[in-house]
Amino acid sequence: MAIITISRGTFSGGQILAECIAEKLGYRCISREVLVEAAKQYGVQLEKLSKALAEPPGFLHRTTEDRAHYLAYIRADLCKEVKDDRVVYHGLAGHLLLRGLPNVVRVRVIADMEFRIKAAMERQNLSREKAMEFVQKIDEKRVKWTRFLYHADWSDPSLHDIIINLEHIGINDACDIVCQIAGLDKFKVTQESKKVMDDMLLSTEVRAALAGSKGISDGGIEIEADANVITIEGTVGSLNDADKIKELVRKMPGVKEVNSHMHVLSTNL
Amino acid sequence: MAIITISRGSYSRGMDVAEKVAEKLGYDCIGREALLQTSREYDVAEVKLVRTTQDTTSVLDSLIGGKERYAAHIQAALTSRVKKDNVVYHGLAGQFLLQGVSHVLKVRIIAPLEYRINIVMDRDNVEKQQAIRILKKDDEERNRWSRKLFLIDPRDCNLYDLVLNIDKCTVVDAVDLICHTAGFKGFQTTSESQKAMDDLQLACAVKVRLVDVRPNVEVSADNGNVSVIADAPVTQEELVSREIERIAKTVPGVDDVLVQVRRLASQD
Repeated sequence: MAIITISRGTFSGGQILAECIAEKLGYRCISREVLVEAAKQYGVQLEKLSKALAEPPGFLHRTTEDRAHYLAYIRADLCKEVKDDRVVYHGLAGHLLLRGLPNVVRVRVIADMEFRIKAAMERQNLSREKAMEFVQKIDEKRVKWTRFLYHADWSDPSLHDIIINLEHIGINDACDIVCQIAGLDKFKVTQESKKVMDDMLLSTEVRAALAGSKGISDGGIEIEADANVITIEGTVGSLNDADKIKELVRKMPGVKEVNSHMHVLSTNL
Repeated sequence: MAIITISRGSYSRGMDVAEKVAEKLGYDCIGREALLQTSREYDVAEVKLVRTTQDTTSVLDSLIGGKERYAAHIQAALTSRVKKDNVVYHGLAGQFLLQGVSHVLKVRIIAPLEYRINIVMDRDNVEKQQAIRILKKDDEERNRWSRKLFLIDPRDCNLYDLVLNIDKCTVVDAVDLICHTAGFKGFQTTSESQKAMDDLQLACAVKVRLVDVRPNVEVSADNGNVSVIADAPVTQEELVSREIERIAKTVPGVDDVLVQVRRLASQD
């Protein structure tokens, strides 16, 4: 019983693979639902969440704090969606958003450029030149985005457990390989993985609640949870902000104790 | 029935995986060193590379006859060894040197840095910082070697059918997955793919004989018919063409030789 994330370039056959795996293992298959649900719960426009996940910095006209908020909402909802495992997530950045969770099989698929260009031409009704431009543009965006957010190289192979090139391996065979991996002992749910999941659920929920609260500058804040004990780290604008944050976190359901290691950003007088 | 190439970083258990895959499938297992045993002159340079005590550039510069000649020797040795099929190759640039043959399963084995550091510390009995330095240098040398010799970056995932991270997947898991994948229809040897392999091997065998005379020669083969493209000054076209034909015909399996001479620009 595992969680499977599939990352891919656009038009690389990732969705078909995800559906194939989900059907074979009897797992749920999710992608955009996560955004829809997060938009509903936190009262944000779907479009904005979508952009926060897909566009590199500079494309959003608002501050990076906005983006941090949107990502907090998405992460919180994704954690909720996958908490009972048996799920395939083929939306963007699953392997990064769920980083640290032991029972995640991180899959990346690669398709050869020709396949992707043809798919883009068909699905978007584009000329060959336009389709090539389109695919390249999205690739560039993704590289920038990952570097910005996670200081990681999007194509860094060690972010994945397996990378499958669909040029010579068919979808059904690729599906077979992933199912075999998902059955390995290391990806089974254990007491340890359950605890990591519970901690991640709480920390992301707390982070999203902070993001949603008005009048607090929380852009530099990071939340960690360890068995219902929350640790807050990072910098805030004022002591007042720090107090508000502590208070808000203390009141959240599931929080037993709060350790605060916040620093107030010193300003040059 | 396939050829499996396994590319690996150092200290990533790649050789271990290769040997176990070969054992499980009953295939031959060959590495870079074994490939060049037949060639005493290059065996020396290979030893230098393995130690990585010298930097890549100086090793490459010291190769007898230059990089092209060395690359031609590696490719000729590799294609002649893997032609008969059912073999695992875990040396340098296999994925690149066997391009165009569909029954080649191209695998890369990687491992997280922490995992590799532990192996180095264990195997070489060194401190963590020293282990990191060893890995960094090793990686740089390997990458530079591939880049200089074959103009490829071995870390580029697009070059492989499968990249496996030895982390949660153990060596045994990786072996199972590779053997499973080798059984897929796309990697089975067909008469067409075997012909591509035979043609490649013949072209490489011819090239390795010609490279001493004409370093930039391009060779292709189609059944016993060999086509050669070579550079020559205008005044020597005829001579070069005849020489190439004579040498190429000494290679077993060559029936016919077609030489196309590219005129070198005049000196004045």
